Amino acid sequence: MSAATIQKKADVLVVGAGIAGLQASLDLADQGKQILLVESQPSIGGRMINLSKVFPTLDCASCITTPRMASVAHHPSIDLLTYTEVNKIERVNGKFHARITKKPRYLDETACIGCKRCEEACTTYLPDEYDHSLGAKKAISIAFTNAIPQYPVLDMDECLLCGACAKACPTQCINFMQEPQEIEAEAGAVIMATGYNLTEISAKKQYGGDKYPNVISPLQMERLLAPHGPYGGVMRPSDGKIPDSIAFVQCAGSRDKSLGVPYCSRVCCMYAIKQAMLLSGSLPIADITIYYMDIRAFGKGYEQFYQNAKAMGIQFVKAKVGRISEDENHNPILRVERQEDCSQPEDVTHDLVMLSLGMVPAWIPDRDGIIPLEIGEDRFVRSVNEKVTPSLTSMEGVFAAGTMTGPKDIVDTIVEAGAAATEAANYLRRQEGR
Amino acid sequence: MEEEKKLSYTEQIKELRARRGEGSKEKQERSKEQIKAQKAILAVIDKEAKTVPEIAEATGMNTQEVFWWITAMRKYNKVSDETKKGDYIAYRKK
Ligand SMILES: Cc1cc2nc3c(=O)[nH]c(=O)nc-3n(C[C@H](O)[C@H](O)[C@H](O)COP(=O)(O)OP(=O)(O)OC[C@H]3O[C@@H](n4cnc5c(N)ncnc54)[C@H](O)[C@@H]3O)c2cc1C
Ligand code: SF4
Ligand code: SF4
Repeated sequence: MSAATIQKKADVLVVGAGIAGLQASLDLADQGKQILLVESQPSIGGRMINLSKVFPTLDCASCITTPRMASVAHHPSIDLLTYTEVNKIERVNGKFHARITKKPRYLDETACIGCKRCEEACTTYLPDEYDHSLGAKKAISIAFTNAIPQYPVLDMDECLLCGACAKACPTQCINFMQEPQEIEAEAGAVIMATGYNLTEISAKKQYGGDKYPNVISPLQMERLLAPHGPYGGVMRPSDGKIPDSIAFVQCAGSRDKSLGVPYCSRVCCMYAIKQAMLLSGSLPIADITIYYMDIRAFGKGYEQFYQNAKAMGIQFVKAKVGRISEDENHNPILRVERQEDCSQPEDVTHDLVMLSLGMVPAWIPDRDGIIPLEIGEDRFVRSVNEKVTPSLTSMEGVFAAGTMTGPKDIVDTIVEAGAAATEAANYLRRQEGR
Repeated sequence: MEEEKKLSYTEQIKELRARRGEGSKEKQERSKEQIKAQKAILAVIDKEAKTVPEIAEATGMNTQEVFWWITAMRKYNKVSDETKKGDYIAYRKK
C-alpha cells in the first residue's frame, strides 16, 4: 500500500543535481529563495563527481565538487530529493505543478546512519554503474564513498531476499515492502539541469561495437585515473595488465551524421589531452598516442595545455581510424589512415584504447516527456535567445542550465547555471509585481 | 507505511519470495555461481600471491572474469595487492 501523497511548495524547482543544478540551487538559496532540488540518481554530484581531475588546472574533481554537494545538502533553503523522478511539470495560472515519484531505497532514511553494515553483509555482487561496470557493488550499496546522501539503495530486481542485510543493520531500518512515494510540488519557476549522456560505445560498428574489453569509454578512463578507481591504478579490463601502449581515438561519436551527432562535442579533445597527461604521470614509460582530425582547444589556457602535452612526449597523430579489431590476447588493432603524408593505411596494435564518444542530451522532452520544451536540430533543449540570455527556454518561467542545452565544459556550465539562477530570480520578481 | 512495518522480516521475505515465484530460484543459482567463483580464486591465492593470468590458468576461468572478481574482492577487503610481477599485479587472499 503506498503512503499518502506529500505536498511541497518552493520558489524554484531545480531538476538535476550535477554541477549546474547544484550551482543554480546554491545561488538562488543564498538569495533567500526556497529551492526544491530533484535528482534521479542515489547521490548528487552528476558527472563531475565521477571525473578524475579537471582540465586545464588538473585540480581533483571530487575536491571541487564535494564541498558544493555538502553546501547544498546542508543549506536550510534547499529541500533535496534524491533517487527521485519528475514525471510531469505543468504550468497552471502562472505557477508550476510537478508530479514527482521518490523511488524506494527499501529503507527508512530517517533511521539509516550510513554505517554500510548492510553492504558488508550482502553476498550478491553486481556491476557498479558508478565505475561504469569496471568494478563491483553489492545488491544493497551506497553509491560511492563520498556520495551525498550516505544512504544505500537496495536493488530489488537483483536482491536474493536472503535477509542478511536486515539482520546486520543496527537500526532495523530496512523495509523490503517499501513502496514509491508520490509527491506533488508547486513552484514559481523551474530550472532544468539534466545534463548529458555519451553516445553508446556500441554505436560505431567499425570500432567493434562493445565486443572488445580493452576498448573503453572516456568515463571508464576517468575511473581508471581516479584516486579511488576500481583497480587501484591504470590496468586494462581483459586481464589486469598495466598497459605499455595506450591510444585515444578522437571524434569517435561526434561529427558523424550516421550516428545522428553531426556536431563537435567540444570537450573531448581537452579531456583526452588531460587523460593522456595523467596517464603519462602514472605510467611514465608508456607510449601514449592521440589519433585526431583536428584539436579544438577553445578555452582560456587550453592551447597551452595542449602544447604542454606535446612537450611531455604524448604523440599526436593526425589520422582517421578506419576500424578496430583485436588479436587473440585482446590487444586492440587500429587501422590507421594518416592524413599528413600519403602513406598506406597501417595496422597499429595497442594495449588499451579509449574512444572519445560524443555528448548527447540525457533528457529529451519529446522522447522522455516531463515538460514540452522546444529542442534544436541537435536534440538539445533550444535556447530562444542564445546570444544574450542562453538560459531562456521556449516556455516562460522555465530556464535551462549546463550541458542540457549543448556540450560544454565545467567553467561554461557553472557560468550558465549562475545566469539561469539570475533569470529565475528576475522572473519571480516580475511575477510578484504583477 | 505503518501497516508495512507490522510485518516481521521473515514475513516480508516470505511474501516477496511467493510473489517472485520461479525468479527466486534463478537468483539463488546465480548466487551459488558467484560464491563458487570467489572460492575458486581465493583457493589459488591463499598461500601465494598470483597475477590474473596465473589465477585464470589455475582455475580454468577466463582472465576478464577473474579480474572482475579480483576487483570486487579488493573492494570488499577479501584480497590485497601484493607485488608487481612484470606487467601485472600479484594478488593475495587477506
Ligand atoms: C570523460 C569526460 C571528462 C570530462 N572532463 C572535464 C574536465 O576535465 N574539465 C571540464 O571543464 N569539463 C570536463 N567534462 C565536461 C563536464 O563533465 C561537464 O561540463 C559537466 O559535468 C556538466 O555538468 P551538468 O550539471 O550540466 O550535467 P551532469 O553532470 O550530467 O548533471 C546532470 C544531473 O541531472 C540528473 N538528471 C538527468 N535527468 C534527470 C531527470 N529527468 N530528473 C532528475 N534528475 C535528472 C543526472 O542524474 C545528473 O546528476 C568532461 C566530460 C567527459 C565526458
Ligand atoms: S536481502 Fe538482498 S540486499 Fe539484503 S543481503 Fe540479501 S541479497 Fe543483499
Ligand atoms: S546497515 Fe542499516 S543503518 Fe547501516 S547503512 Fe545499511 S541500512 Fe543504513
